[in-house]
Amino acid sequence: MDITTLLKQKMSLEDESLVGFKADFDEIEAYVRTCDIVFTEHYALGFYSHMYSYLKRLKDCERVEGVDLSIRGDIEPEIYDMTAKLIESLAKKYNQEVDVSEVILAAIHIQTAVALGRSH
Amino acid sequence: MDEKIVVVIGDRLGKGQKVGMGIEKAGGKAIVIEGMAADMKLGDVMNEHNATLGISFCGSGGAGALMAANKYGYKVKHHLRSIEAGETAIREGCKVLGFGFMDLEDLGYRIVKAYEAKMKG
Repeated sequence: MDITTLLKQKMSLEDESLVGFKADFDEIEAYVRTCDIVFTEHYALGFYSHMYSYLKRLKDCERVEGVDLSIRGDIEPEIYDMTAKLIESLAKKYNQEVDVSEVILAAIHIQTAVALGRSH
Repeated sequence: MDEKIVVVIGDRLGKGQKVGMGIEKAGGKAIVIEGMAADMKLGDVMNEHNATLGISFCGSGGAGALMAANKYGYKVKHHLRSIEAGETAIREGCKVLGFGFMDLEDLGYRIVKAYEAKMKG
């Protein structure tokens, strides 16, 4: 199932909500594949629903609130850097600055997927 | 004896303790999942404890709640931005709520009270 169909079903979204982000999701999927990150079903929903919310924030020029930046210390540097590249690319497309909070929130998804991959 | 309302809390950044205090103040039992990525474990912990309700906190309030709902079939409302929206979701019969970051005692207290009111009919 492709990402937009998954999100449409699970988040009860209309086509109009997603159509503008198709290219962004293609970029995210391609980047995740390049980095050899594998999300199992439930974690894929978690990650891509998070990225949908992030793309909406970029489009609406909204900032996420309430992120304690000290949590960055719990994220592996390689994963942080990998995520930062993705977030930077997306932010640039929307003429936004890179928000460290957003890197942290997305990196937690990726770090979880990597940890699960290591445990199998 | 009435059974306690059991509420599991999963916050992306490991917070949620204040919400837990509010739940306990309202007479419920709070289970705050510890550590980073706690929201992603919400469904599993709810299932493990046969929880009444689950609350997830992350950037916009979607991921953890959606994951729990997807895995266990819970009725979900996500991207909630206010306590009032959470109360409405409870009245609508939702079992899992997804909020943006909002670690407030009042949220926990009012969610339990909203559930009690719904059960009284």
